[in-house]
Amino acid sequence: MNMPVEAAMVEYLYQKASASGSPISGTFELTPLCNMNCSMCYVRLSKEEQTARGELKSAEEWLNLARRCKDAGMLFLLITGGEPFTHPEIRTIIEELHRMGFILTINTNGTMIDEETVSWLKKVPPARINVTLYGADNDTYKRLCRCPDGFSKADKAIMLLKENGINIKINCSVTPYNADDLPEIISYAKRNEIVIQPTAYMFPSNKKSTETNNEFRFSPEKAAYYTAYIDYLINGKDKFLSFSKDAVIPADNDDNCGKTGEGIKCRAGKCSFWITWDGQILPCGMFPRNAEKNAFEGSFDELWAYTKDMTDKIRLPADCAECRLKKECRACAAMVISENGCFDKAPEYRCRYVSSFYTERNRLINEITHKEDN
Amino acid sequence: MKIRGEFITRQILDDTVVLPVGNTAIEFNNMIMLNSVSLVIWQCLENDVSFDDILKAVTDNFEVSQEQAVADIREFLDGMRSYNLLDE
Ligand code: SF4
Ligand code: SF4
Repeated sequence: MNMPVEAAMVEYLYQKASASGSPISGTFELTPLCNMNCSMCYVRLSKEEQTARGELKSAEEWLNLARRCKDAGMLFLLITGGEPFTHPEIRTIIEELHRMGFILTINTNGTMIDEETVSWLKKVPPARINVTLYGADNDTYKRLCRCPDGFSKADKAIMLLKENGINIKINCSVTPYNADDLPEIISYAKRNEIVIQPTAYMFPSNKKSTETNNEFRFSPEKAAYYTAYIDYLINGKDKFLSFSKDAVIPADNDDNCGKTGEGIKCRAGKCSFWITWDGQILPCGMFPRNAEKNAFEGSFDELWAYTKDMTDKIRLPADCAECRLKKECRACAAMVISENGCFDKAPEYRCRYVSSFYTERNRLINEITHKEDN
Repeated sequence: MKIRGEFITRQILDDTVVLPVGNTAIEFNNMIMLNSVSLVIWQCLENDVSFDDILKAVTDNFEVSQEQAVADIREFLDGMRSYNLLDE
């Protein structure tokens, strides 16, 4: 029975945890290391860069932290990286976390999952594995991820996981480097009956320039076009055209801007948190990595209180509060801070993305109908 | 009858959540939320029990009519059967 954990129960628990400020959901970013090297990656460090910044935490350190998080009420746990399967003690970590009673999700590029990994995973199956696809063939993986057999490996992992009854989702960040592969990535997911979630809006890399012409992501207008294109490819022409009559921009998060001076609306820092590989506790992984607390020391209750306090102090830009597009925009606190480095002005890239969406969608509609006429 | 599979029970705020462990998580990739009555039924089913044993536990623990208790237990057991979580 390859079914997902029921959405209604999950929503109910999240709402309750948000209302009472209980940390029901956590992310452990086990490592910044990765066996691939994708051009647009905002997390990956080389071994040298990582060593200069600090040691990786051991299984025992992560598991001790997990025990403290469990006592504080954590139920949902996302394991991410870098590539988590590069962590030298990944199996000990997953086995123990599974036994502790968390609803585990693992983010992976899939390329390190083979037959042997899957037969091990079957003994401690996570609730879901999110496999990110970067392209639809090895050429794209070679170009974008410097991994010439990346697609073959990821494809094999997806097939093995599916055959063995492990629930999978495909994630995909659409960038100028792999946009041509998008139709094939989506039909791959459809052919194999796997849920897929591509996104064309990408956070700016926190390692590189935050200029809007950041070469690793689209211009805001192109990102808007591709958001519509994803909608078209996933839903098919008829649904896309009928949704387009009234539907708004497909949501890419659960947040939105509030009134002037209002605090943030999403779950970050209300009932969810993120621990970076070097032990910083953040409301969400997209926040700047300058937390003062070390999650591997001290009481978790204190850490959580610190995170909630940090989140409570955030005030969204007045520009957003007054913006006529705010309902559709759903710009979240992490977008504002990562685009701007501060919370007092509107994130320009996002504004351009949102305000060009309808023009770009119409451009796509014209292309589709024009193609038909010819 | 008895629970089929391996589970772990957790208290999350004031809810009881039951999660599958090991191979059970492949067959049943979901969670179960228990209210106070279904928690008693679940606890009974951790051992091999009869319908009447469960009925007695429910009526001993809650002020509920015999009919209501029978209906509640049947509903819960049917739910478990539909997911193949009961050894009978
Ligand atoms: S696979 Fe993911 S973590 Fe690894 S380099 Fe690519 S984007 Fe970064
Ligand atoms: S369009 Fe710009 S100003 Fe308006 S809500 Fe979005 S980010 Fe804020």
